[in-house]
Order: sequence, then structure tokens, then C-alpha cells
Amino acid sequence: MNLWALLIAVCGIAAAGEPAMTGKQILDKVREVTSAADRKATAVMTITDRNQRVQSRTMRMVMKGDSKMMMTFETPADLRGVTFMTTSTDNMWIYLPAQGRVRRISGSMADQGFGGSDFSYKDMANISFADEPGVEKMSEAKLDGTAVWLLELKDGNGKRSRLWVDKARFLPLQVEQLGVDGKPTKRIFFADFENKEKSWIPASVRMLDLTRGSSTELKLEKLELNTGVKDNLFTESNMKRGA
Amino acid sequence: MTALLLVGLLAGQFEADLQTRMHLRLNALDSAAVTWFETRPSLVFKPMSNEKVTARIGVELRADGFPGLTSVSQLSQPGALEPVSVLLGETYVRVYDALPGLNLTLGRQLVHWGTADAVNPTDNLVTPDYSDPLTWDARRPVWMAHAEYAPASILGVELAAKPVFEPAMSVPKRWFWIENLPTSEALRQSLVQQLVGQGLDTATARQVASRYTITASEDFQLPKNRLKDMTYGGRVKTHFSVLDLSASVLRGYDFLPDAEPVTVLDTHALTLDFTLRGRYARRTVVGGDAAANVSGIGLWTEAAYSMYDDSLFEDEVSVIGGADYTVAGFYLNAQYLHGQFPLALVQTEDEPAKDFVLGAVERKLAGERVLVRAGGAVDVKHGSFALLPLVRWMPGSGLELDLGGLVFNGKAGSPFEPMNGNDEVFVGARYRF
Repeated sequence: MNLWALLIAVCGIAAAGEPAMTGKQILDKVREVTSAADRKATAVMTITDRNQRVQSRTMRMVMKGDSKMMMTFETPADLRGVTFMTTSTDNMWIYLPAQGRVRRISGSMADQGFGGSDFSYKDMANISFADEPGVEKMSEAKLDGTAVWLLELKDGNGKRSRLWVDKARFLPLQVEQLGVDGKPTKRIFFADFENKEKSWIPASVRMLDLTRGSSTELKLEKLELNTGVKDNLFTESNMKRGA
Repeated sequence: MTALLLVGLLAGQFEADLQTRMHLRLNALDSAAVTWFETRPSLVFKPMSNEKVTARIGVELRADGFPGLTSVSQLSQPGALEPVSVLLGETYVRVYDALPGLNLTLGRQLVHWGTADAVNPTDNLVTPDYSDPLTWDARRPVWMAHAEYAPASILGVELAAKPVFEPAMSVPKRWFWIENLPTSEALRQSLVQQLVGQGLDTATARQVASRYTITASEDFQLPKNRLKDMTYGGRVKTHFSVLDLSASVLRGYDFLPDAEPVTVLDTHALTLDFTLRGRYARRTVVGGDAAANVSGIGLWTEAAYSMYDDSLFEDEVSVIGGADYTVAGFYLNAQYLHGQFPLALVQTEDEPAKDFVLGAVERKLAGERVLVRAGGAVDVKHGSFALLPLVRWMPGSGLELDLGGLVFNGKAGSPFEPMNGNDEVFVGARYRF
């Protein structure tokens, strides 16, 4: 055996000796890599229905940690000032400026489209993986030529999904939500990751609704991280001011 | 107005809303008529809107499609030919974090009080707007000082003070009106019946009654504008797990007057004076509400105990509870109300109907561009109902086109009975930009 082969063998043995990551560890690492103390951004949401009709919305958003978020629509006119706030996936509210009213988003309403998009209110509340699903299965795969972990997840309500994670950078690349029959109902793609202050934030999140044949793309602009957003911003009275 | 428009345009903060709607009453072919035709454009300017301060000026026009002429001499008066009312919308200055966690708003504003969906028993603060029968749960902004203190997301305190009483606006007489003031002839007939009851034969009773001088008048008074007549109160809000809770106290006036008939019969002077006293009752409302979601079902309840200053009015409890749920694309909303229902403006029985079931079913179709809704209310005591079916088409952003109806079925004594015959079909359009 020559010197190079020995070196490779030694490295191989050394690598094999490292403990493999568990699914939970991978999820935790994903959160670590993609989280920031807080985020502010404007966002453009483009909704394309099955007949290729396009609608556009613009929003301002503020997030603190992974679970607190406030989003305010700026356009179109019929949504202007409407503000969505979440402090967890069980606690969501919507402010309707025409009525001067803050309303709790109830369970079934949480599955409805956010601003007419393919993202439900619950999807928006969990956009930073705030929920802590359990990992049922883990495997390795390739996604468009990128080596990934494929995690099969199940949340506290029994809903299943799949998550593809870039092995090299621990970035979430794709999520598939599964129906009760195990078939995918929605597919979410994360792309255009920006590295800001040691956090990797996807500037593009695209949702495909496989049952309706529609899609929604959310593009973040003017992204700012760690600006000192306070916890007490996330109150009903501040929803009137908006994000 | 021009200056406001310029300020708004320069500031780049300008919103507009244009609504128009026409109702057709088709209950009998030979008397089918247009009973409602109104256009309501509104403009909102925000001369200032930043993290610290928001200023807003709202103006609403109400253009009646029917000429308001009562004489030939008015033909040269544009105001009579094309009646337009100008109303002030929300117009206020709001300061955020005046102190940490404290937001202050001064001016004309809408404040939603209570968590229930359509009827809020705890709300004695913001004036209802009954001027449009289709939006019977609408409210008008009122002059108010309003403070909200939220030191943390789980606790909020609100205080409100409204210095001037603002009564509710009623539907136009053309659409619906019950004449509370009887005619002299009706009073005379009533006197005849009274005399017959006292033992006179009908002919003699009529002869006696004909000698009476009969007057009918109205004695209507608004609450005074003394500081002690102000409306004021407060609310504490919190949320615990998936539950939102609040408790409130408000002291103010009812928004509709109570009409009390007073008849004075002088058998010596042979006069009968009928006076309809219209007064607004003052009360203290203590209440609370809760909202939650349980197993995907949204639940809420709101209850209030009203204590009237005047012993002529009985203290009363009002409660509403409701739930909503979405299944197979259908949105379902059901509520039970024990209390006053806004469309039940006229109650003719001594024991008025107080229990109502409200419900709505909605479904969005065609990629959420079409909304189909069936909603209504049932008077439990009489089994009478009012229905509001609606089809709304939203062909583009900000544009809504409506086709709908109003259906009333009121049995004798029901609050919906006076509206029998008001069945209508309506078409409307709304554009926001």
C-alpha cells in the first residue's frame, strides 16, 4: 500500500469514527444556521393560479426569534393595513383596519390562504420551523445534484412532512407537506440564501400547491438582521401600527 | 378639501373607496320599485405615518340617487336635486409608545369593543350605523380619547372617554319607517273606544269625541353635554395559552331613544294631548368576553350586564356565543344571542323577542374570485327570520361586484314582522384603490 492510500485509509477510519448526527441534531443545526435574533424585511408575494393569472402583494415584516412575527400588507388596496401577528402556531391574530378590529385566527381559519396565497396562516407562523416536529426517519439523498439529508417529520397534530437539508451548509432546501394518504399536497422551496451576520436567510420562498395547481413566491427585500426588535412590539395594540 | 387632497398626494399616503348599490323591491309586479340607490365614495389621507405618529383624515360622501324635491321652487337647488351628505370618517392623531407600551389616540375613531363577531353586548362606546340595512353591524367613528397600554403581549389595558353623545343613524324613511306619532284621527278613534268602554253607545261616544281638541307632538331630547354625561370606561385584556380574555366597564347612553307615549285627557277643557317622549337611557355595562380555538373550531362568547340609571328600565343581561369552522372549503359561522338584535328595531310586544340564532355559510369558488354566502337571523320566540343571500364576484384586485337579496318572514309580534314586504334584490359594486 503506498503512502497516499494509507493516508486516505486513515482519514476514512477517522471519519467513520465520528458519531453520525441524529435527525433532531440536524433540525437544531438548521435552526441555528438560519435563525437570527430578529429580522426586518419588505416582501413581495406573487401568486399564480392554475390559469396563470398573477396577483401581487407587498408586505412589511418583523420577526423576533423563530416564533414571533408581524406582517402588514401595503398593497393591494383592499388588503392595505391588514396585519397578521403570531407568537406561536397556536396563537395568531389578524388586524382588520376597516373594522378597527383584532381577531384571533381560529383553528380552521389557520389553514386558509394567507392574503389569498398558497401559504396558510399556519405555514406563515411556522416559516422559520418554530414548531418542533419529531423526526421519524432520516436518510441521505441528492436533490438537484446537492447532497442532502431527507428527514421525515411528524408534528404534534400528527401531520407529516419531508424536509431536505443541504448536508454541507445545513440549509433547508425543500419541504413537502403530506396528506393523510401520504401523498404530497404542498411543496416549499427555499432559495437565494443570503449570509448576513452569520445567519443564512432564504431571500426566496416558493410554495407549490399540488392540489390546486397554483403557486406563491415570497421574495424578501431590504433584509435587516439583529436590529434590536423588542418583545413588547408583538401586542394587539401595535398591530394597528403594523410591522 | 383641495388643501387636504394636495397634502395627501404630496405625502403619498392616500386611499380611496367607492361603493354604489341599488335595491329593487319586487314584492308585487305592479308596485315593484327601486327602494335604495346610494353611492358612498370615501377618501383617507395619512399626512403622517411613521413608527411614532400616525395622522389620518377620512371623509365620506353619501350621494342619494333619489332627488329630494318637495316643491317646484327647489328645482334650481342642486342640493335638493342631488342630495349629498358629507360625513367625517376616522380622523385622528395616534402616538405610539408615548410612554413605553402606551399608545394614545385622539380624534374621531373606530374602536372595536368586544370579541364577538357581529353583535357586541359589552360595547356601549362606538355608535352603530343602522343607515344601511345590509351592513347592520356597521359602526360610525366617534370623537374619543383612547389609550392602550400593553407592557407585555399577555396584558393590555384600554381606557376610553367620549365627551359628546352621538346617536345612531337610522335607515332612510324611504326604505323602512314606522310612524310612532299617531294622527289626530287615530287618537280620536282611540278616545271613542275608551268612551264606549266606559258605557257610552258608539254614536254618543263619537259625538263626544268630536268635541275634543286633539294634539299630537313629540318631546325629543338628546343627552346633555355635561361632563357627567360623558361616556367613559375601560377594559383589561389578557391571553392565556389559546384563550383570549377581557373584562370591561363602560358608562354611557343607549344609542337609540326609548319612545314613551304620554296621554293627558282633560274632560273639563275637552282636550287630549298626546306626547311621544323620546329619551336616551343611561346605563353602566359590565361585561367580559373570551375567544379560543379548540380542535380547529373557533369559539367565542361575550356577556354584559346593563344597569340602567332610570328605574323605568329593567337591568338586563345580554349574551352572545358563537363558533366558526371551515370544512371541505365551506366556512360555517353560528351564533346564539340573548339580547337586542340590531335589525330588530321595532318590537311591538310587551315581552319583546330576545333570543336569536345567527348563522352564515360561505364558500369561495373560481380561484377565490367568487364568494357565495347565505346568512341570516332567526327570532327563536316566533320562528321568524331574515335572510341575506349574496354572490360576490372579485374580477380584479380591489373590485367587488355583488348580487344579493333581503328576505324577511315575520310572524305576528316578531321584530321582523314590520319588515314583511321589504324583500329585495340588490346589485352593487365596490372599488378600492
